[in-house]
Amino acid sequence: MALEYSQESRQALESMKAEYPELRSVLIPALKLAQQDHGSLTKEVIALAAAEAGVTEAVAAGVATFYHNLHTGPIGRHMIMVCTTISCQLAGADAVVSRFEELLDISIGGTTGDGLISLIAVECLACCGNSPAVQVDYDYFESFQPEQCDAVVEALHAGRHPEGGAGVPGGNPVKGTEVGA
Amino acid sequence: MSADVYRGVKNREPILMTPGAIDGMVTLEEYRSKGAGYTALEKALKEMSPSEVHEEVKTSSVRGRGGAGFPAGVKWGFAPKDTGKPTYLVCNGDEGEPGTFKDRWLLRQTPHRLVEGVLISSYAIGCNHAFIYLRQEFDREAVRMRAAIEEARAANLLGKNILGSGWDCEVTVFMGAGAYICGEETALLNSIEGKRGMPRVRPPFPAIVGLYGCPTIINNVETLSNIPAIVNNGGAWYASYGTEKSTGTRLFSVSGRVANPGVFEVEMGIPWSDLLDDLCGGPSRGKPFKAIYPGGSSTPILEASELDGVIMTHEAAFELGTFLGSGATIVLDEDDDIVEVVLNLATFYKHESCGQCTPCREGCRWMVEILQRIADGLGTVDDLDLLVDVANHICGNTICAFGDGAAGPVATAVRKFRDEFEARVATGTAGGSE
Repeated sequence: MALEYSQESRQALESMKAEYPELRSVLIPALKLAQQDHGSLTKEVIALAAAEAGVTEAVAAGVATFYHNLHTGPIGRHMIMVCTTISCQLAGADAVVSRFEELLDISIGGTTGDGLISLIAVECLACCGNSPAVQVDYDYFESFQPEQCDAVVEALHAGRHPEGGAGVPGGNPVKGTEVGA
Repeated sequence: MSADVYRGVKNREPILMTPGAIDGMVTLEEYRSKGAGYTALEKALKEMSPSEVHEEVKTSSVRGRGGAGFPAGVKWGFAPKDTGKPTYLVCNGDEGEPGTFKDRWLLRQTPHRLVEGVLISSYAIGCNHAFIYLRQEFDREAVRMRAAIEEARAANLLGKNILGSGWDCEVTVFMGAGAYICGEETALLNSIEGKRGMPRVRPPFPAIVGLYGCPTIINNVETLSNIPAIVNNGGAWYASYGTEKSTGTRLFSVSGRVANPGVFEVEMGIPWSDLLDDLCGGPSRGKPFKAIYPGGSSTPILEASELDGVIMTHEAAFELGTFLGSGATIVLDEDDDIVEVVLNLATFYKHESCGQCTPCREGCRWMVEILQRIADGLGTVDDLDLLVDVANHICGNTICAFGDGAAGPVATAVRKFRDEFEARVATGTAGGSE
């Protein structure tokens, strides 16, 4: 059966198409929505996005493999992203990584066996004044200490969004609106 | 939280970190009660021609706050008006330079001021569709920006026939997908066009051939956030802040070994010690400062003593062989190991190189390999020269400034802290506490 977008994503895509002077500009959003709907950007999922933006599958695959947050391989349903760039490194990001590795029983860059959580080291999150910084899905956690790792993992396992993130009040508590979630 | 403390401009009103901004001007109502509240847009549309707005910005001499420091008013003048094509304004909110976190502050605290700055600037350059490019991680900031845009639209401050002037302007928020290089302006344009974020060869410059092949002006979030105050108070008022060549105030994001890290607005021309010792409270753990990246990880490192008695201007930084960059000051103290710091940043650049130019793609990888070897205690003294040699072969040999930003600081660090690198080679153990 041919892949499709969720109804929500479809609506978001259609309104975006009207917004841009050239159709091709919807390629990156189309890839993000496809990834959100189908888990990761397999060949078939990339083809779905390519058709929306009016580009070839090869072009779309080139874009999908360029950006760090577009994933062509399997990823967890939740992402724990620990900034390990200089200011966070100075403030102890390595200890945060170690604690998450221990709790999740995976190495940095890995995904838990149940596919629930991926643990990733990321580059500068623009949060250097309150380092170390951790992003869990869409939410920033600033001045994050290794002791806080347990609560984050526990919440994700319980299907809750972890508390204590410094997201913007009023935003959707779990997912942002940028991909129509 | 320290990031919200403003103590920068002495004896003058702050321009960006006003009390209202620190408190937060998120809604239109808040922006009206605590900020300019689109009075500058109204003034521009009702009392000024586009070229009069442009003249005020030229008079202000406000320089780009994204890293290159190019005068915004001069840049605006590069866009031709007679091409028959649309002109685009793109706000660069891809803040990703290690150490920089000021734009995130502005996006969160003063989204309407940025929208107003974008609209006024669009009016000045003849743009009817502006884009605000945000890095993907700024999801919550995007929520705020989009909410501000919709509020402005509902109040007839954005969209069709703005304030009855007959002038239309749309603003679209575009989210990146994770790539530091997209902060480079031509890579950013490619990203909006749905392409891999690879910088373009210049010329043609984006002012002539930019987004969708049309004339395009790209300005940083902080640069555009200054525009409402410049229009309301005049370019000469803005230029009365700072020094003759480095006018105004600017936001510095300070991180690392200072007692009080955060975002600070400082008037250009104050001594560096005012920022590091007074505003940031000096060292965080009682150890003297050793080294400082003055304007971000792409700006060549300074020994802390090099800043003694130096004032904060573009020219003074240039004389020291470095730049003010994006105002991201990263402070290291005596216990920090320079080899580890340089390795961390080299790893960042290796990861973020777009791979387009061979010297950068291969050179960034080799710099990490050599630095890792040295850090592991397996390096030789010859490796230090090899490292500098590789760095020198990147500098000046790439399409964009990324290569220089990656290599320059490595070469400078080896030159200035050669004794530490040699000690690491000799003993194989770290010199600092890291």
